[in-house]
Formats: sequence, C-alpha cells, structure tokens
Amino acid sequence: MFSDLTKLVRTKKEVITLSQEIELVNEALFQNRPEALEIVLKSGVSAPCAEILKNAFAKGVDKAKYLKQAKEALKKLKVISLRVAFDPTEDMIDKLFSWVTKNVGEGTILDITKDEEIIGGAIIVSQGHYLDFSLRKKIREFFSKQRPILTKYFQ
Amino acid sequence: MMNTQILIYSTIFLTAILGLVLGIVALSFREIIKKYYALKDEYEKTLKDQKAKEEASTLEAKKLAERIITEAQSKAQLIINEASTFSTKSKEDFAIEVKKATTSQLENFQAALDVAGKEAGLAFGSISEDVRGEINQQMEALRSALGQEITRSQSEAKKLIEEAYEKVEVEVDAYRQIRQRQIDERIFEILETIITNVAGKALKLDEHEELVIEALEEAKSQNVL
Repeated sequence: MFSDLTKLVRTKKEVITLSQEIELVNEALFQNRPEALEIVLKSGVSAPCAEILKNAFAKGVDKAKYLKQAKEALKKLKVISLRVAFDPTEDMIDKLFSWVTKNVGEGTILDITKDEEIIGGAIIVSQGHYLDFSLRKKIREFFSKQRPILTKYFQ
Repeated sequence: MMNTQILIYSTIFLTAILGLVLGIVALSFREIIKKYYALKDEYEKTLKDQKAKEEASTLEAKKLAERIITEAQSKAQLIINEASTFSTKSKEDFAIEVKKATTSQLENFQAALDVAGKEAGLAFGSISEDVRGEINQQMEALRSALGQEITRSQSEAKKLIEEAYEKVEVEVDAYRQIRQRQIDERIFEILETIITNVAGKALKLDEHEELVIEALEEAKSQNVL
C-alpha cells in the first residue's frame, strides 16, 4: 500500500525528510483554512511525494489515517548501516542502493556515515551484527600475521 | 655584823663572778653551735657538689661511650657498603693491580735472589761443601716455591679478568637484544602508519566504491544482511 512512498527513499536521512513532509501535510489537515492542504502539497513537500499523496487522497482514503500509517511504514524499513571513509556522491548512493535492493530486497535503506579513520572499505552493521571490512583492519591483520617474515626481512 | 656584811658582799661578788662565768660559757656555747651548723652546712654542700660532679662525670662518660659506639657503627656500615659496592670495574682494576703486583714481586724476588746468590757465594766460600750444598738445595726449593706462587697468582688474576669480561659481554648482549626488539616494534609502527596514510590518500572514489560493494558481498555471503 505504501510501496510507492517507500520507493522514494534510499537512505535514513531521506526517510527523516519524508517523515517531516508527511507531518507537515498532516498538520495542514487540521487547519481551519481549506486551502492549507493544497498549499502544502504544492510548495511544502517534494513533487514526487505530493503526487503520491494526491493520488491516494483522490481515492477517498481517510487522510489522517493514511498519513499515520505511511509514517509507520517508513519506520519499519530495514536499515543497513554503512561506515565508509568518503563522502558518497548521489550516483554512488544510487549504485549502493541498487545493489542492496537487488541482493537484499525492497524495503531496505542505507544509513551511511563517513569515518576517514577506516581508510577504505566499510564497517557494516545489520540485524545486530557488526562486521568490519575496513582497510584499517586489513592492514593491522597483515602486520600482525606477517610480522615474523617482516622481522626477518628487516634484519 | 661585820662578818655578815663581808659574807653578803662576798656572796654578791661570787654570784656576780658566777654569773659572768655563766655568761661567758653561754656565749662560747652559742659560738660553738653556730660553728657546728656552719660546718654541717658546708659538709652537706660539699657532699651535694660531689654527687653532682659524679653524676655529670657519669653522664659525660655515657655520652662518650654512645658517641664511640655510633662512630663505630658508622664506620662499620661504611666498610660494609664499600665492600658491597665492590663493582665489576673495581674487580677488573683489582685484577690488573694484582697482575702488576705479581710481576713487580717476581722482578724483586729475582733481583733479591741474584743478590742473595752473590752474597751467599762470597759467604760460602769459607764453609764446607756439604753446608754449601745444603744451602743451595734450600735456595732452590725456595726459588721453586716462589715461582709456583707467582704462577698461581698470575693464573688467578687471568681468571678474574676473564670472568669479568664474560659477565660484561653477557650484559651487553642482553641490552642489545632489548634495544633491537624496541627498534623492531617502532619500525612496524612507523611502517603501519605510513601504509595507512598512503592507502587512504591513494584510493580513488571508484576504488572506494568497489571496496564497499565487496564488503557488502562479503557480509551477504555470511548471511548477515
């Protein structure tokens, strides 16, 4: 029912923004001015979001109930946390999101944070699991395992 | 009547004399008593001074004894400390000095033997061959004993020097190993830091992306996603 809305978001930041937009629309419903909803849908929210909401409202749904359920649906999205060493571009977020949708399934979003300390790769947190695939860890493991060989080399 | 008057005057006169004598006796007694008390006071004072002097002397002697004991303890401690801090360096110096001393002694003994031999030759010229032979034999025995003693001293000195050298060598080796280990650790730290910094700067954006995709695939293969 809300898949068209959830398809609008790729990351946790986008979920927060969309939730705020939905809340804005919800507040407009309870204003005395009849034109308030129209104004918000026109200029207060993003065009794709406004389009989806307009279509839903045109079908005669209970607006307040629909908006509440939409927010709950956004909260239920599965989140994969990615800690990376760089600021991802929009194109890169698209690629990562496509990979996740294809390999994990729809209804999954990314929570991307930047941490230069990890050098490269990523630290992934998902379903309570913490996996360190960073370059920092790999370099440390390399030095730890290869120390005897390196010691001989330096002597 | 006349006799009565004489008797009365005589009685009065005698009484007066008696009174005078009694007065003199009383005064004398008083002086004696005064002298007695003065002497008694002097005696007690002298006795008291004597006691005070004795106590002072005892105290002085006690202090002196304590000081002597303290000094003796200090000296003993000093001797013990000096003995315990007889370092390896000192042992080496000691061994060198022993060697010098033995060499010097050997030379002295040799010189003394030569002189003694000459003197003995002159002195023995006039005594019999038997006595000369006996003396020569004794001299030879003495020479041999001295030679052995000198050899033993040299050997001991050499042994001491060798022991000290070995000890120092072991210590130097241990120190070198510790320093080597510390340097190795530091090299690895520096190397790790350099590689980390270089890798962080060298990676391009598409390489970063590739590494993240690889990480996701690895996570998927572990059924974590």
